[in-house]
Amino acid sequence: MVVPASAAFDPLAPPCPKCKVPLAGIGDKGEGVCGACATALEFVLFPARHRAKPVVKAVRSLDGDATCFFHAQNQAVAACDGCGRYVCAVCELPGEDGRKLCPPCVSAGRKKVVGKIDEIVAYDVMASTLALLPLLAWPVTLITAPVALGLAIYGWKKPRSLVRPGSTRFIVAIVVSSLVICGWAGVGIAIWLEK
Amino acid sequence: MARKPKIYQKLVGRRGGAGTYFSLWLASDHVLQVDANMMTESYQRVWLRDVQGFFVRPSREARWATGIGLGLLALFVGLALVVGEAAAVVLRVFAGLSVIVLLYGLFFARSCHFHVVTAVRRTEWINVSRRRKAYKLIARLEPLIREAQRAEADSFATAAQRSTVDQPIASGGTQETSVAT
Repeated sequence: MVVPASAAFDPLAPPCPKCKVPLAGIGDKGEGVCGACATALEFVLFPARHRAKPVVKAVRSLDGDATCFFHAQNQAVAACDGCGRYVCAVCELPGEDGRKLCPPCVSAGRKKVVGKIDEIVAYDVMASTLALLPLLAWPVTLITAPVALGLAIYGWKKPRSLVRPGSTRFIVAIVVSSLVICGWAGVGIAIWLEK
Repeated sequence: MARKPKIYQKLVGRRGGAGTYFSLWLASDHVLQVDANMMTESYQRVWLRDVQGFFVRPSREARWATGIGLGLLALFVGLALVVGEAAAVVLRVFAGLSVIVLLYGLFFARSCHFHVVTAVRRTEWINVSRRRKAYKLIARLEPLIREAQRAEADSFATAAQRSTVDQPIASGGTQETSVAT
């Protein structure tokens, strides 16, 4: 089955993953070849591709109307539950628990909610790697062990991995680096006593 | 203290190059793509209600690796049969390395590219590198996505009533109009 490349742009047609040409007139499941780039494809499509999201348009403000804080020409339809600013229909965004928020409040809220973060520093991975890997070249542990211990203590309270939030790596790093530090301390004491 | 319930279940993992690791995790309403290295973890969410489709297209890497592995194996085995004993030992070692290449091509090399399409983004899940893995993933996600989008369709029927149309500025408003005389 050859999937034809759309002659006219169809915004609802999914694009070929290789050449990005919209693939119109295909079913929900099957195999085919893109008519534009001849790439063999297997696909499964879902109802979301038929769904055009309703476009919310703002209403022009008239004399005496309250206006949007961000768009002075638009009529305000709500007050932001976060900061109290008036917002138009375009700026009115759904927040948690049915609240209505303006775009800056939504953006600020995302940074506070741990589940919404996009990137974290993996202190546990760094600490455990610094504690274990240098054991292969043990003289380096004189420097890396204290650094690993410091990272483990510093990173203990920081946001953790969303998928591996446990403390195992931290505990391993703390235990191993503590033992190494104690070992070096013992070596130092032994050298000092010999003198 | 009660343990926190696990939010994410692991779907697919694949080790990238030089300390990087890519994995996919499933939550109740989205799939989380995790790109991890030694220092950071970054996340991309694909909401089940937004997924328009999955595309699987073939990759030649597995075929090339298998072909090269088979070719080298045949070459070294063939040579080992005709040369002397001393050289045959060396050739057997190379034949063993060819088997490794062959096994890589058969079981580990990339045989497909897996793409996820939403309304605003097209993403390739590079961790899904084998066809069997891709089919298993689709089989697992398809019912969840259809269920999520069925629920979403109901809520859109309500949301569609909220959409408004631009109204013209009423006559007698602040805008001056010129009148032809």
